[in-house]
Amino acid sequence: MHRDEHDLEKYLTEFRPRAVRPLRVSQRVSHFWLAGLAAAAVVLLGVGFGLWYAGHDRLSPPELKEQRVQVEFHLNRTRLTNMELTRLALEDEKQFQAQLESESRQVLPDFTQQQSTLRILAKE
Amino acid sequence: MSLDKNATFVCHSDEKRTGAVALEAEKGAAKSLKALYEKHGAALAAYACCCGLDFASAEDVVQQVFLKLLRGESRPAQAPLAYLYRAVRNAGLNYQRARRREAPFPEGELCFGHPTADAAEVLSLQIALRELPEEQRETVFFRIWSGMTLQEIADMTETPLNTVASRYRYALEKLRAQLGTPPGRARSGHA
Repeated sequence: MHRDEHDLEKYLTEFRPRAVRPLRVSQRVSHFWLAGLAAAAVVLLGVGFGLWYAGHDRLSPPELKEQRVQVEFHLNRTRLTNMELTRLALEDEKQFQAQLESESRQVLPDFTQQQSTLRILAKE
Repeated sequence: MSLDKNATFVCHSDEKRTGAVALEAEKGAAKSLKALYEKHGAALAAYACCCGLDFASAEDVVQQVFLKLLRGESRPAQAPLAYLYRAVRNAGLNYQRARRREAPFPEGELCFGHPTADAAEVLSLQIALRELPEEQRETVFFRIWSGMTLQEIADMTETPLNTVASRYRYALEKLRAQLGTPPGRARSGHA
């Protein structure tokens, strides 16, 4: 190589390119972690909702719970005689109302079934 | 039966080994790419600057190229360094096109440093490099700032050695014509 070329080459070599910032390779990893965190959050939310839902029944007011039990009890009972109904009306009005409601479901036409009379009449 | 079991065992073992080898290869590739970045990242950014980008954009472009390689989104079809220079140039062109700039050389922004030269001298070098034809500029960068021999450049770019030598010689002549008598020569006693 020519002497001048050597000199010029050496001169050019003295110029150093500006340093660049370090290569950031953690982007993929951070995406992975973000996805993991999102999944964990969803699982936690699901578990939390499940626990809340399970405890909701337990946490309801005791009066409501008692009333519900009484209604269910009366609904499941067999039909009472007139004497028993009278006694119930005098002693416990709530139970009496529940009993009447239960009786009425058995006596009055049902419109909740597909082939019930009221439903058919309503269609016509 | 035992033969089947053995076969299955061998198969699973091979799969594990292949997976481990692939993982190791991936780690090795990532390491070598990082090493390439540390060694040639600055030169590639300066090269992108000389293709018409400002320094910040040049850095971004170089990072994009390396990150694509690291993620496996692109694979070099040729020698890594030659590929990197081409990829940076193409990415730089795309960057300019996306910004719809005519890409005048950013006046006053230095992509090189020099222990004694002033900013004007650095700028004149940058402008001289920018005005070189693409292949000559690439050859100068390979030779001067990536430290390759002409033979290595010829092998890497799959170009005859004489062509590479001619490109380099023409490039130096043009640079000398643009820069005049390098002040560095007087300083370092080469004159």
